[in-house]
Amino acid sequence: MKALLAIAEWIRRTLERVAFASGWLLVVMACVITFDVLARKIGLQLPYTKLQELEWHFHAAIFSLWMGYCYTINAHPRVDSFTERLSLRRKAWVELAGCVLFALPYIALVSWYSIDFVVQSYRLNETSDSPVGLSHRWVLKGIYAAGLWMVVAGILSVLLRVIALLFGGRSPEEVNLQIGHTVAEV
Amino acid sequence: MLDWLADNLALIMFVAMFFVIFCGYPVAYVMGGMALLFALLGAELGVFRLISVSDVVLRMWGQVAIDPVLASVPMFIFMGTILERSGSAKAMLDATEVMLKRVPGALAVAVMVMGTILAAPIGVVGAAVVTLSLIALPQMLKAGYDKRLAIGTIASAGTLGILIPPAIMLVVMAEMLGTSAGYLFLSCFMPGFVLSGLYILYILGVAILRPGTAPKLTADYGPQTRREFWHTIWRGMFPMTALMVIVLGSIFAGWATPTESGGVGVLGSMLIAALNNRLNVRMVHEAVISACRANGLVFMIFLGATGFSLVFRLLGGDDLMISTLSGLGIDTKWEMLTFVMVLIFLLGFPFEWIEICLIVLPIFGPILAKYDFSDHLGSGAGQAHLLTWFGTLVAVNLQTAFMTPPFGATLFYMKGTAPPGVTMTDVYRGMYPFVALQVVGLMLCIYYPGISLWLPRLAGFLD
Repeated sequence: MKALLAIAEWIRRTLERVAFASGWLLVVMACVITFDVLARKIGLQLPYTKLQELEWHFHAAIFSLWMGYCYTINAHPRVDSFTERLSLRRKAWVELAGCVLFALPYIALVSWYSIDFVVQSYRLNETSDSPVGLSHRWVLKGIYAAGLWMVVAGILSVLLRVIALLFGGRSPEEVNLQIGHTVAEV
Repeated sequence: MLDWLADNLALIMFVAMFFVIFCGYPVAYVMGGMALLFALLGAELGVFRLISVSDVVLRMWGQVAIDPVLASVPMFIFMGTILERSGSAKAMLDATEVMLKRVPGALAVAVMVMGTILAAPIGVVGAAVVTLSLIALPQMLKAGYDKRLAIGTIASAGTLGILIPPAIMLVVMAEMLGTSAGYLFLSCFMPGFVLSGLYILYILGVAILRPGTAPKLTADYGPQTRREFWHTIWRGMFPMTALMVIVLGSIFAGWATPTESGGVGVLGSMLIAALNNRLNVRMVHEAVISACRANGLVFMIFLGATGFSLVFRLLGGDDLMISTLSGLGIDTKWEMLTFVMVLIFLLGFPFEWIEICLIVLPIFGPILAKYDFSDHLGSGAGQAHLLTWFGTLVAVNLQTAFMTPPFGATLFYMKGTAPPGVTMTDVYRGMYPFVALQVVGLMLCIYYPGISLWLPRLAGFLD
């Protein structure tokens, strides 16, 4: 059980590192956009198509790399008006059923299909639809697919904690399971 | 039996999802999981090809990841989380109070005015409500305001942010309805102000009829010299107003896409924070984390909902929904509109706007677009007019969802930031009059489509 918790924590920490680092892309994205807008206003001759594609590249990378981490910190909104008052153990049972029945099969399947999606792009050496756009489309597609696999990792991390709590007899403090009521922040 | 099941699978999926979702497991995963479950069931019954699920990867990529307009969502959220930490809220509240000193219920009206201006750029309801509540609620309670009036005022002012552009919700809604975010930004402007006006009228009414609940400010409140007076107003109002003019003006004038104006807005809000001496690495780091967290959960729901609507559609859900509704006697355009509005209002009790937007709009948007509302919207009104008007109605309706007891998200934020002594019952009671005003506002927008369509027409977006 100790090993399970250690793995769960290791996954969470790895996801957190990636997420925290990629979060700063927001600042980079804002700077690139502002530069793009100002340069166009002044009338500089720059490869604007590339710049503009770069802007949504950041967007795709940011949300991809955060989806999995969000689950480990219980950010995904729940409709829990009826289950809010259940004990932690009962909630953990719900979480177990949800992970096994809903989250894991769906996300794992989608992630599985995403491998082929990236491989195709790499093989064809896919570039932007626009002739003056960015090349190496597989890099961004790879980040997107990696993001999907990171959701799988996030689900596994929560699942391991649930197992440790339900079947390992570990105390709630030790398991540090992040489930229960959460309000959407948007 | 099996035939019946195979024919109605999509509808069963739609209804079942709303039950399963109440088990308290994250909505995004429930939607995706239900999609897969019913895809398997459909494959078993011979009405679904399982390989179609792989389309989720393509759709999530093609319609969400590489969408240049949805790229504005992280920018607007980030702008909001920085403004939340920029320290301008206090200065703004001071300025509005000073301006409105002589008005009955001055503090409440000031909170409302300021909420209307501030909630818009913050955009994220949670952040707006928390910011307003932290600075204004203690002050209102200390001044002797009725708890419920104070709570209702702050909560409804904070929720205006999802309606008044640049709102993240409007960007998502525009995507789902297949219309332009610019149209919705313009069309939701007036309804936002109409609602804000209704709130202010209500506050004035209460302050005049029952002065005990909203005491007057004394004459010695605030700056006494003319110089100080103007300085307070300048410091409080100028930065935020300038930011809004840049962000919205550039979109409306057609100079910048929503994403571009969002990016410029981020740097603008950092500038405001720097002017207030609040800009440092730690603050930006916190804002980044908070923005990415909100952004991540929005797009996770996109991922789940993509699977859900894909399977729903492939199981023939669209036609099935229309035939079922007409079987129930809902087939004229007004019946359909009323049905959708009531459905969204009811769904608003347990659900957040994201789920409703992503599930209900893709299904009912196209159904409604088939009807001809040109007699109501004015001659020459085409589909663009209809979708813009419909989108506005949904937006007002969804804003109400934030405020409706017992599960509205705003209420939890209010309770979370309120000083001890404020109970959840106080919060609920405080909301009722404002929810009623909200319904009045929605009715006005339905009966007078001009409220929504006037600005887009003026700007020449719609003719």
